[in-house]
Formats: sequence, structure tokens, C-alpha cells
Amino acid sequence: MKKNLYILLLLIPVLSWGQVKTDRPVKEGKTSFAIVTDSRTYSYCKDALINYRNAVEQDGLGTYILHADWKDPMQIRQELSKLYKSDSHLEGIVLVGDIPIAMIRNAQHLTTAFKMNEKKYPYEESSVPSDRFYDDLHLTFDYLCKDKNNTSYFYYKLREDSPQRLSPSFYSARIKYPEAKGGNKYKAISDFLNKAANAKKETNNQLDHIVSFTGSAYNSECLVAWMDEEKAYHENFPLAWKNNSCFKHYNFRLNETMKFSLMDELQRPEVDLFMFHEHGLPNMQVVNDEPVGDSFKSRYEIMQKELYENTRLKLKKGIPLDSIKSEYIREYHLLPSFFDKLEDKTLIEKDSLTAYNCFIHLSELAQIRTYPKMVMLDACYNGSFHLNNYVAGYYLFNGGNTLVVQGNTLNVLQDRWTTEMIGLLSHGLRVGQYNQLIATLEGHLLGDPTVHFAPIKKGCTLAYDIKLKAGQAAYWEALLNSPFADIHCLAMRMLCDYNKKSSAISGLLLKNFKESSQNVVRMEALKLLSRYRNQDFYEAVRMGLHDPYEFIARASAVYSGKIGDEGLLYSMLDAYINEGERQRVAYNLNIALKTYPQSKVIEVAKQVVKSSNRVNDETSILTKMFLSTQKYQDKSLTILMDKKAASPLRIEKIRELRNNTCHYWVDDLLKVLSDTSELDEVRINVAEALGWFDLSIRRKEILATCDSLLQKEKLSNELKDELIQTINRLK
Amino acid sequence: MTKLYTKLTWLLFGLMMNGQIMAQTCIRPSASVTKTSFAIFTDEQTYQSCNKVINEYRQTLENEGLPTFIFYKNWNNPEEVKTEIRKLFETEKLEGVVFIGDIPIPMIRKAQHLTSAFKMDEHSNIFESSVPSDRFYDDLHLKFDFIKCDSVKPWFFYYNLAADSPQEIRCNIYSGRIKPLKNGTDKYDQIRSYLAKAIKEHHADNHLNQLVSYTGEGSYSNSLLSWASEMNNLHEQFPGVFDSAGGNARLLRFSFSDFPKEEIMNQLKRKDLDLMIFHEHGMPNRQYLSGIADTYEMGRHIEEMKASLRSSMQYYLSGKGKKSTADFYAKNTEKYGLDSTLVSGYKDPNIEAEDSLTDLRRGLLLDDITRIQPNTRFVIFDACFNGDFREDDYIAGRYIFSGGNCIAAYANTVNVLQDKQADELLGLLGLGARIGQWARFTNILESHIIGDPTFRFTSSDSKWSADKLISTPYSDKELTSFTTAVYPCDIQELALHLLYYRHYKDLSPLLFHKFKTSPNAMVRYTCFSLLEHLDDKNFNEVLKIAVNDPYEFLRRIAVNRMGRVGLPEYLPYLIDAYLNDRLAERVTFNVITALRSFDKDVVKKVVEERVSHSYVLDKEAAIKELTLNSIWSLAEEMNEDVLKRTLKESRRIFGITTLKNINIHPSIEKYLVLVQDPSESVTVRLNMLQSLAWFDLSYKKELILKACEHMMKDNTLDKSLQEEALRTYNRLNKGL
Repeated sequence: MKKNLYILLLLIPVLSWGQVKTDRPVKEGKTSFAIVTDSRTYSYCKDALINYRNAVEQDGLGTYILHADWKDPMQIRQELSKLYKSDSHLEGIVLVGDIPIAMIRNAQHLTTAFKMNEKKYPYEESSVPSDRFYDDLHLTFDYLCKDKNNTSYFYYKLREDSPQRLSPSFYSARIKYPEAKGGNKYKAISDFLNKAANAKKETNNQLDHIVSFTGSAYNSECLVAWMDEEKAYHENFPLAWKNNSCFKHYNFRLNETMKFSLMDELQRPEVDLFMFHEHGLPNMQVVNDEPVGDSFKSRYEIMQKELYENTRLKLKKGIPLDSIKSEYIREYHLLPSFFDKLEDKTLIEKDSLTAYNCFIHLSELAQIRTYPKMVMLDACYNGSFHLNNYVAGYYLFNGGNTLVVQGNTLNVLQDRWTTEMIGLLSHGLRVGQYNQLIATLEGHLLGDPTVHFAPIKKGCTLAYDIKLKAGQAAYWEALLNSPFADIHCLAMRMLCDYNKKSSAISGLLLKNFKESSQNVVRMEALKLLSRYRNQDFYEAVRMGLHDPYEFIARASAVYSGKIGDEGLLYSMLDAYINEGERQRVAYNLNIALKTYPQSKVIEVAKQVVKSSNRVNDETSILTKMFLSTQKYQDKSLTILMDKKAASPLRIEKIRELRNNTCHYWVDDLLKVLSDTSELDEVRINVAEALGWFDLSIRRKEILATCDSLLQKEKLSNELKDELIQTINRLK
Repeated sequence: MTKLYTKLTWLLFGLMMNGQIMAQTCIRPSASVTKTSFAIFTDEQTYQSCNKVINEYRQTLENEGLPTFIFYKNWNNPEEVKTEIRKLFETEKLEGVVFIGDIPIPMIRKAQHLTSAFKMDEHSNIFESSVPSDRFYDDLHLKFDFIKCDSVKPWFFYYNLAADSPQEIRCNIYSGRIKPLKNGTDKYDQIRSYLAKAIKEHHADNHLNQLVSYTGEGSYSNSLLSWASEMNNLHEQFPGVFDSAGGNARLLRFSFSDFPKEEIMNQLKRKDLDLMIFHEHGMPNRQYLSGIADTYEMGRHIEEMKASLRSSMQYYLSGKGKKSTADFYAKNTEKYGLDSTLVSGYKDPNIEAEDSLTDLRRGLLLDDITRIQPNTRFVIFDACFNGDFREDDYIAGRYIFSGGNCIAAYANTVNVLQDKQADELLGLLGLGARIGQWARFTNILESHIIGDPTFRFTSSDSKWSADKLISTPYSDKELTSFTTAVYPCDIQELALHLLYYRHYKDLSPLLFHKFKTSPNAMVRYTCFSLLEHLDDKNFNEVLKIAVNDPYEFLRRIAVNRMGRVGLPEYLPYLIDAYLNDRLAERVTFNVITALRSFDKDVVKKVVEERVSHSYVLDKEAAIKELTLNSIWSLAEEMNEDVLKRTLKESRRIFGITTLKNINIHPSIEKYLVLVQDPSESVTVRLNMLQSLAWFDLSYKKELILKACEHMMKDNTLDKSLQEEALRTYNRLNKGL
């Protein structure tokens, strides 16, 4: 009987190929939601899916179930598009089981940091696995191919004439089991769905227990950045300050092996949200650095460990022990007895354990249950659901209470605003709704996106209003007076998104930036001002460089590099020279200053030092440093402009502009772009590089040249496409 | 020449003290005293040399609405000064005083409980073991018994806090000292320059909106959680000031660079800096800013290992250590396999000079400060000894007498506790309180304003003037209304302090309620600390809540006080606090210390019970950490020594003295038998009485009080025992 059933199940895909079945909601809600699953998962997990569907409906969302043996991502997208057209109240979807994976190309500007050379590296590595393919219906894509090895990967190119900014039509999440974990994936999915359904019975749980952890090497390990977040968290989570258990704000420096404390914290059933700000890989979370030298003993142990490891490596390479020893004895002033413990097994074990304990490994996660309802993995690769083993999956599929995880499929920028709008979760927004507001190409939710907490104010309807009152300006204007910072932020955002009277809104944003004492309100105002790219924005950036909130200063540093207005230089250098304790701001200013003519930078640096009353006159050190940058840039520009230079070298210099938008090169870049005698390949790369000048003070000149070239010249298709895309990115 | 001149001046001063009695001159304020007044006390010669600028200073204060008296004479002793202060306080609504020049220095004894940490054996050198303190002048409740004038330095006067004196500080007025340095420059020039700049700053319309707080190496066990919490407090205490453009509060830490000294110097030189707070270790002549920085790469590891070996070799070379350099060298070469070249520079004068230069880069020294010319208008030294005006030259003095715009320092004359609150009521300064008005509420025996105590910033909120608030005689009802959450948090705290000063009858429930409901960390701290003074049931209860407060400092002191109260019912709270807060070094340290005050076997039972119910994964390790015999071994050994009559008396006394720091409540009954046992020596009994005075929060305090009462009435007892019993009784009976 069992065998027959198995054969029958195998036949399902064949029988249902291409046919999409839509189970309509059993119970209507103010807004709706869709579960998308494959036929086999549907079949194996039907009870759990129905249970979950019923729970979601009970929670107020009419829920569709779409199931089929999906041919490719486009088929799903089309179905979702149809559904969205027929039900404009559709607010989100969840992709359960084996749902094809869209691997996106030509859209690196929609990621926060991913800049792999698409021409140089294989598709599998240089494409971005992204569910924006499903949830952002504004974007348009061209199908490229299916992966030869992995049948679930489908490659798409973002079209050049597509909108070039993310604006998801609804939210999405994935429930995908990391199959390398072993066990029965359908049972695991069913267990998860039942867990998510059961959790919805608890309707009074407010967001008031949070743990935040900042790992090693994150944000240049800047302690001011870490400390300053606390005030923002006060604004985001007003309920989380009743006692010490409510909010724990941890940093890797608190312990040499923080992971054990973190795993303890993951056991607390009352924790609602656990935020990991850290570095990561698909199979590990980076928690600590290896120990630093803080005493004679620790320094000696580090030295011993390092020299022993090097010795063992050299031995493996066949170098005789005596010769290694005598080299080290000479170099480090050692006695032969230094090597006495080279073969000491206890020591070898201890050293390897020290390194091992810097990370949380999948094998460790497999041993524990995790209880925080939501986990944020603000890290690279922890959300790589396209692989058969990934960290986020381990948080979902265990016997604990974790319902939803935020993670990234690829590497991610450290200087992005990782907690933007997070405080909306305090007001009853669904995790999916929050995530929709902060979309990036690589950012994903894993698990149940409909999770929400009981709002601070009973009866708060924000979760529905965000969908149903999106265009009602008066409603959002009134919310500008909300005492809750994130509601204030959302109001500004909704006014910008749906009520576009740019000049009035830009003034309003600047006013909010100048007058608000709330960190997150000022930051949101600054971010939204960047859309308008006008004098209001520049003024906010100038002020923002000295803002009391480190992150605003950091964001302003990044913006100042992207703007290129010399009027910002004094503030930039003042912050750079006089506010050095903000290490990450200084790091970003260091990059930003490179986009300006160094002669001007030196001139302003001198003024700043002169008026700063500092102990030492650092003018000559700074001048030397900036002159060295100038030298490098002059050399790069010469190569770039030199038609005789090898084109790969010229293109390398052009591609550097993607991270380093030298505004004062724009004249030269436009010259190359317009030069019909230039190699097409060079012109295409310049056109692409100019796409990164979207905030530049020279933006309009770039747009004008691109427009004029498109109209007047006969261009190759590839150059034409690139120009179109650049225009769409800059306009 | 200058040195000789200075010597002669002191000689003259000394002669006057010993013989001639001169009447003081009093210059009354030019305006009549209506609401408040202030007084300048100076010596004859300072007045004669600086009268022009002193009068200008007075005029400046009077223009601010502060009628000011000037008293000058060559004062014979502190009592003379105090008599005038008391008269002014009783008849002229005096709010504060400043001592300019040579004003006698009271050296206080038998009052170590009024300090935060000073516990030197008073049998040792009298000069070293006394606390120079102007609480003698500004707390008129306290009573003192004169001991003697210092035979070598006749401007120092020793006093015991009287046995029947109130045993806590409640300053009636504020005070400040402008005592010039003996650093080679004319002392009257120093005073004239200082007062001229103080006058200038009084005329400036300057808001307190630029603040730097620096935490040095070794403060708060280098706990990051302790460090980071200050920013939240500052935001609460200065609402709106540091939250928007124009305001700037910067928290710096020793770990920000290998040698943070240069950056600190840059900060001190900033012309816009209003307030600099140093949380650091200190001596009269040095601020300890940083230690040996962490090293991250091989070259630096080796460099620091070499420096460390050289330093040890130099130590043994000097003969201070028990080993010889050869022994040390042999041991280290053998143990570590390092050859002699690693330590070879220890005798090389060039390397020695380099090492010493490196050491200088880790602290601020007297001459550094003169060179920097600090511009910060006000500086707080949350540090030991930086304000030790016993010395001819000292850190705080350098700040105000240097060329910059620094007007006042708040500093300590002796060592100070790390786990004390340095920022309470700070927001009042932002609302225009005079520095003295602020300090009056937060003073401990060793804390002092060095400089002009009337200095104030322009209020950053036009609705409020803390100066007026403090000097207005509000009713209890009005003050109670100021404690509601609609007022800025430091105004709430001020109202609570004022209610406390006035013995407001319903204060305890008010404090308890506010503690439970206030979202402001510093308001909760004030409630906590005032409840501790009241020491009633609400205090015992508040500890159970405070031990899990969001503010790390409150958790830290709550844990500490649980140890001092000793109620066995606290144990589950203490254990939970440890398990829940394992990454807060300063909290866990205090938990472990507190556990010594409890019965070991009971602790072990509670540990097992609490750990088994906790979320901690490695339960075995947690139990082990909390039940290590070493936690109790010292206390047990000491306790045995105390009670073992066969031991040498000196050893027993050492054990008894240690009880001041570790209150072992389960043994109190035994201590009381000892203290009342006529067969014990008077010395042992006296010492035990002194130590029992440190059980002032103990839940068994009543037993001690009863025993003291009994001894006070027992006329057969040695008089010294009776007096000490009275002292202990008064320490424990806070109803005085």
C-alpha cells in the first residue's frame, strides 16, 4: 500500500505539470495573503498548510493557496500578477517547499554591496538569488537560461528599461528546509507550519524582549557606533526598557567566547526579537575575533600558537624541523626549548578550539532549540536559502519558538541602516510588511512573514492602514505628530511614496531633520531627502556629518562621497579630523574624500586644522596622505583616458568608479562616452559606471549627455541598453 | 626668591595661628539680603594683594542677584571661619561660600563612613589617614571634636567627627576653594588671573551643550556595559540638548587608541567645551588615562612582552622584589624559552628613557595641564586624589590656574569608590544651577569644588532656572508636584532631595512608587539612594526590583546592597542576577562579593535550585562558578580568626577590620557576644564596635543597636567602649 502511494505521489508532477490550482480563502479578511507551494509539498504537508492557512485567516488575512508543479519562476510570477490584479488587497505571500529560484543579473545596484564581475565569474556565483522577482511586480526581467546543474536555478536579467529601484508590490518569505540538515523535509515543513499556526493563538504578546548582538569586525568594531544604537533602540522599542531582561545590548568584546552566552540567550522563551549584527557565511555566524594580546601571558600564547602553526605548515611542505627552528630562534630571539610543546596534543586541541569558538557553526545550531520569535541575521550569506544548508534554516526548523528569520542570500553592506523601520513591529505591523519597506535584492524573510506582535496601543490599525490608506495624505500628515518615532518615519515615507509633491515634501523632511530629537526620525528624513537630490538634501548631509547619532554621521559621510559638492568639504574634514572616535564615520569619509579633487581637500583640511586649536598641527601628515591619493587618481585617470592603454586595464579603472564616484572626472568620462572613435567595450563600461552617479552633483550633465547620445548617434545595441539603464538609474 | 617668599608667608600664617588673634574684617553686600547671599572668605594678605579683582568678582555676583559678603583676616583655625558661616547661614540666608587663598584646612577623622571608600587605619600617620574636607564648613549639622593642629604644617587642623554627631552629610550650603599652587608663580598673581577669567565667564551667555566624558583604563573593571549606559543618562538629564544639531556629547574610552592622551588634550583645548568628565584613576599629580594597549599583531606582541620583561627586571634590580634579576631571568628563560636579548635593554639608559616616555604618554601630568591650558569650563574628576588640596600642587588646581578658560573642577581629596554615581543631578547644570548648588546635593566627605562654586551656565530651557528653583522656599506640596513625570528628570530628583532634606514624612512611599514607575534611570537612582538613607522596608523591597533594573549601575549597587542587608530571601535574586547578567563584569563581581555575606550552605542550595530553573545551557558550569569554595575561603578564614581567642590579638583585629568590607550577617550574634564579653580585651571590643558600625544596612541591625544601647548605659564599662558604642549606635540609628 505504502509503495503504491509512493508511485502515485511520483506521478503527481507529471499529471499536474503546468496546472495551477488556487484554493480561495475560506474566510475573508480586510487584506489577503497567499501561500505558494509545489504540488509535492502540498500533498505531503496538506494538513499543516490548511492549519496554517486557517490560523492566518483567523488573524485577519484572507488566504489563498496556490499549488502546482511549477515550471519556472516566471510561471509563479504570472500567477501572482494575476492574483494581485484581481485582489489589490493582497499584502504578502509565502513560498513553501521547492519553489524555483530566480537568479538575478544586471541589477547589482539593487543590492547593498554585491559587485562581482558578471562577465568574469560563472553565473551561479555572480547572480543574486532573489525573491524580489516574485514580490516586486514593477520590475521587468528577461529570461536568460536555466542552470545546468541545479534545476531550481533560473537566470534572469533585469531589463534596462525596467524601473531601476525596488518597490515591492507585496511582501514575501520562504519556508525552505535546509536539506543537508538531514531528516524528512516534509515533516520539518509541516512541523514548522503547525508551530507557526499555534503561535497565532497568542494574541497579546507585545514586542518587549529583545537581544541585540554586534559581532567582531563589524562596523570597524567601532564602539561609538554600537553605543549610539541604544538610543535608537529606545525609540524603536518603547516597551523594552522595563527591566534588564527586556533589552540586552551585547557586543563581542564582552566575552572571548560570546557564542555560549548567545546560545543561552536563544533559550529564553520570552525573547521576541534577536538581532545579530555580524559577519557571516552560509554555514556559520562570526561571533568573536581570536584573542588579542592583553597581558604577557596572552601575548606569549598567541606568539606560541602562531609560530607553532607556521612550523607545522612548513613541516608539511617538507622543510626540515631544524631549519624552521633555527629560523624562528634567530628571528624571534627564542631558545630551543620554546619548541618543547610543539607536539603537545592538549595544546593543539586548545588552540584549535580557540579558533572554532569564534563562530557559531551549523553543527551547534543543530543541537539546540531557538526560542526568539524573530531572528535578524544582519550578516552576509546567513540567509542563503538557494543552498541546501544555510544558517537561517536552522533557526526555523527546530523545536523552539522561532517563526521568522531575516537574512541575506549574499554579502551585504555593513553601513546600511539595518534597523530602519524595525520599530513598526512594536505597533502591530507584520514582519513581512516591515521587510517590504526596507527591501534590497538580497534581503529575505525565511519563515512566516505574517508574524506580528500586539501593538503598543490596543486597537492600532496601522497594519491595515499601510495598505488600505496608503494614498490618504491627510491621514499620514496627522501621524507626523506621533510620539512614536517609527510611526513618524512611516508617515514621512508614505507621504513621499504616495503623495509626491517633491518641493513641499523636501522642505518638510528638512524641517523634521533639523527639529526632531529622535535619532530614527532624523535618519529617515535624511534618507528620504536623498530621493530629491536638492539643496535641502545637501544641507541635511552637511549637518548630518556632526549629528549626535553616529549612524546619521556615517550615512552622511557615505552620501557626501556620492554627492561631490565641494560645499560639504569643510564639514567632512572637520568630522574627519576632529571626531576620530567615530571610526566607521572616519572610514567612510576616507572613501568619500577620494571622490573630490585632492587639491581642494588639502586646502580645506588646512583651514580645519588651523581653526581647531589642536595640540599638534597635522597639516603635513594630512597633505601627504591626500597627495598620495591624488597621485593614484591621476595615474588611474591617465590610464582611463589613454586610448593606447590595454582595454582590460582601462576597464578595471572604470569599474573602480562603481565604488568611488570621482565627480571631478565626469567631464573626462563624458568625453570618453561621447567619443565614437573609442572602443565600444570602453564606452559601455563608462556608461555603466556613470549609472552609479545617481546622487552626484553632476547627475544632470550625465543624463543630458546620455540622452543626447541616444537621440543623435547610431549606437551598438549593448551601448544603447547601457545608456538606457543609466538614464533610468539617474533620472 | 619666590620659594623663600612663600615660606615666609606660611611662617607668618603659622605665627598668627599660634599667637596673635586678629578680628576679621567683614564687607557687607552692597545690596540688602532678601532671598539669598554668598560669602567670600580670604586671608588678610590675599585680600590686600587681590582686593581689586575680589571686589570685581563680588560685584559680578551681585549683578547676578547674589548679595556677597567678604570676610578677610588671618584665620587662627577652622572654627573661626565656621562661626562666621553659621552666623550668616542663620541670619543672612547664606547659600554658599568660597575660600580664596590661605584658609585653614580641616582634617577629618573617625568619619570614614562619610567617604565613599577611604578606609585607612587611623592608627597610622595622622596626616595620611585623615580626610581633608570642607564639609567641616558647609555641613553645619555635623559636630566635630578638635584634636590638634599639625605640628609641621600649622594650617592643618585635625578633628574627630563627634560620637554624638549626625552620621550623614546634609550640606546646608555649598563651598569652593581657590587655593593657589606652589609651582613657582606668585600665588597672588594666580588668584588675580583666575578671578579675572572667572568674572569673564560669568558674563558669557554660554549653554552647557558641549560635553566629553572619558573613561580611563581600569575604571569599572573596564566594563563596556557600564561605560555605554552613561549616554542614555545624559540624554535624559539634558533633554533635547544632545539630541539635535548644536549639542554634542561624546563618550570616549581608553581603548579607542593606543595612546588616547593626545585626543584628550585636543578635547581639553576645544574652545567650545563646557564640561569634561573623567572617570579614571588618579593621584594628586597624575591622571591615569590608559594602560598598555591591546596588541593585535606579532611585532606588537613581542614589543610589549619585551617591555613587560624589562619592567620586571628593573623591579628586581631595584631590590623591591623577593627575587634577584638572575632568578627572574632564569625562571623566564626556562619557562618560556625566550632568550636574553628580549630583556637586554633593561639597563640601557636610552631604552629606559624610552620606556619612561611611553609611560608618560599614558597619563596627564601636572605640566601637561599647564601646557594644554584647558578650556573646558567645568571638569569633573571621578577619580582618586586629583583634588587633594593638601598638596602644594595638584591636578585640579592646575586646571583652574592654567591659562585656558577652565573655571571650576569637582574633585576628591582622597581615594574614591568606583561604584559611586558621578553624574547625579548633572542636568541641573544645564538648567542654570550654580556648580555649588549642584554639588551640595551630591557631596561626600572627600568631594570638593576647586574654583568658583557660583559659576553657572545659561539655562538651555528658558522655562527653567535651576538657580531659582533651588533657592525658592517651596512647600512640601509644591515640591511633591515637581516629582511628577511632566518635569525634566533632574528637577524631579532635585525635588526628591529637597523633600529628603526637609524630612518629608511620606517620602519613602513616594520614592518607592517613583522607583517602580519612572522611565528615567537617574530618577530611579535618586529614589534608590534616598531610600538607602531612609533604610526602611521600602529600601529592602526596592532592592528586589533594582537588581534587574535596565540601568547597569543600579543593578550593580543593588547587588552590593543585598550583601550589606543580608536578608536570606535575597539569595534567589542574587543568583538570578548573576545568571541573567553574566556579561556585566561589575555586576557579577558584586554578586560574588555579596555571596560572602551569606551562609555558604544556604547559598549552595539556592544556586542549585535557581540554576536548574534557568535558561542557561551549561548548568553544571554555572553551578560550579557560583559555589566555588574560594568565594568564601577568605571570609571563613577571617571569621575564624575573629572568634578564636587563642590567636594573636593583631591577627584577630585584622580579621575584625575586614568585616567593614564584608558584612557576615550569619555571625552577628557571635560578634555581639564578643563585644559584650568583659574577658575580651578593650582593644578587641573597640575594634569590633567600630566594625559593627559598618553593618548599618544589616537586617540584624536591631540586635546591634540593642547591644550598643546596653553598653552605653553600662557605667562599669571602659569610657572608650561607651563612647564607641554611642558612635556605632548613632551610625546605625539613622533617625538622628
